[in-house]
Amino acid sequence: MFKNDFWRLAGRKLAGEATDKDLSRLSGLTDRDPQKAEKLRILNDIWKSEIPETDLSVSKTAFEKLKVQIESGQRDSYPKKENRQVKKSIDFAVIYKMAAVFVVILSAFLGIYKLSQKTFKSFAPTEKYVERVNSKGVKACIILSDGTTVWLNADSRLKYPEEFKGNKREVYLEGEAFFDVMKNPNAPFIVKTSEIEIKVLGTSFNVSCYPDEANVTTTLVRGKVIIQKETNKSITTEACLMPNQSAIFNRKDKKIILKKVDSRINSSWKNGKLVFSDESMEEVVKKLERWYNVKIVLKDKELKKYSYTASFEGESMEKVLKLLEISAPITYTIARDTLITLMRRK
Amino acid sequence: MEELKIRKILSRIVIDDDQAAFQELFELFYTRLLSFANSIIKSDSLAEEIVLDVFTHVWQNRSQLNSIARPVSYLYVAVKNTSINYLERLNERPKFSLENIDINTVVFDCSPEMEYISTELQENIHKVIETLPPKCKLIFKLIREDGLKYAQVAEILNISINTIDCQIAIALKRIGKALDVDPAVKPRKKK
Repeated sequence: MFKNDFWRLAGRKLAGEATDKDLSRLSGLTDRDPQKAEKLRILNDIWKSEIPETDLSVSKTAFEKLKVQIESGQRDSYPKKENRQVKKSIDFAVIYKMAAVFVVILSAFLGIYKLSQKTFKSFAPTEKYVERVNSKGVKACIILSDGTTVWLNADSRLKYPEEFKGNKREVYLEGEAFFDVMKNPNAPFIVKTSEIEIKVLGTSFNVSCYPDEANVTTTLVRGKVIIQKETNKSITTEACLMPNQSAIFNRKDKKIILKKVDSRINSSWKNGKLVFSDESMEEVVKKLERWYNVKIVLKDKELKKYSYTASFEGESMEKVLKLLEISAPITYTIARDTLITLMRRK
Repeated sequence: MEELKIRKILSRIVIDDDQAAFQELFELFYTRLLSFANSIIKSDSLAEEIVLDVFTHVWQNRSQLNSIARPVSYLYVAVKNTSINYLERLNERPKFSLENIDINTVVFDCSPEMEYISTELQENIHKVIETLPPKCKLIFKLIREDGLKYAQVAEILNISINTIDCQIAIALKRIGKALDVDPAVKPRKKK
């Protein structure tokens, strides 16, 4: 059969594999031969005809079985022999060999494993990192293999090894997270951000490093942390932080300043509190966007001059917006549930 | 099948340990994979066992799901390999080849717009599809019923895309021939 014969082209068209060239060749053939055109039309009808819906209850029943299998954690617990309906074409004696089935499964997964190495390279066992990505409006609490607890804020990602090995514990953060690090003097815990690293032995602290913000802010609750920078293979210590201090790294001038803060405020988000402490309207807007997964537009430039100090817990977005409205000459509109426009009240 | 949709489901499983997403994935693939396993192992209960084992493995190794480049092919290949492993144990000597598979009926229902196809012709078409060579039938089924792409089937069955192109053409040609004998199939004016 030739590479571009009618049936091949027809197959590609029906399967949605045809290129523009194939389609124009095909219509060239059908234009010249009305019988071919008619056949193609019928084949198309047959191909596109409804495939009877499979009974979803079959899948649901099977899923219940799967749940039991997973929960019991025993892949070697198979149904008894009498439950097996092996086709007669298979020698009945083989059923007795089923005792060894659980060995089969193991080797079957070795089979998968081999395949995954061959076909799906990235599925190799050397891949030890796990990445957790929170979208806007979503927060998560992650417990790492060493017992360290991480609260990951909305619109943030944390990459960490499935299991810490060796004398280093390294994680990668973009966005904001609160760390309660399990003490281990032999393996320092290092949070890597795109600019700086935060090195600790056992403590709790908050890191905020959203890419769209000017600063990377590290706030210490207790213990001791070191802020360091890695440049050309040398690591320089930039600052040493005491409890209730924030180290604010400015992305533009690459300088760190230390500031006294109430660390409870910077990390209160993990307890579901939305807190603004003398924050500019622009900062407030960014926080609200992440917290409620919305888009906020400031219509009038003068709104930027306002700053807010407030604390919310479990409030709806509308309530927060109402309070913004009360505390300054501001009004807002909501379109499609997610687009908020703030403007000067007239 | 939409890879993007499946990727989204997978990332819900990886990130949130989302059991509902896992069930969604399962329900999306169960019957297709069951029938695929059945075509190799030729036993309903073993086919079910195989598919459940593959999904157990998927759940237990869910943290690595995101690193699977082509999840749809992955599931099919996992089912294929597990089935072949079962088969080898059952028969002691490996018996698997694409020429030795037994595929469930390929189904098509005539929609009301297709009433121009007589019942007799319908039966004929069924017969033609049923008697396609096993390999050809399997490829036809995977492409049409399971909605897989040529490249996916090539990866799953470890054959070339050209083979698939050719096998689909064979299937269509045979169906096309069955249409010849029917007087209803005459060139008609376009609507």
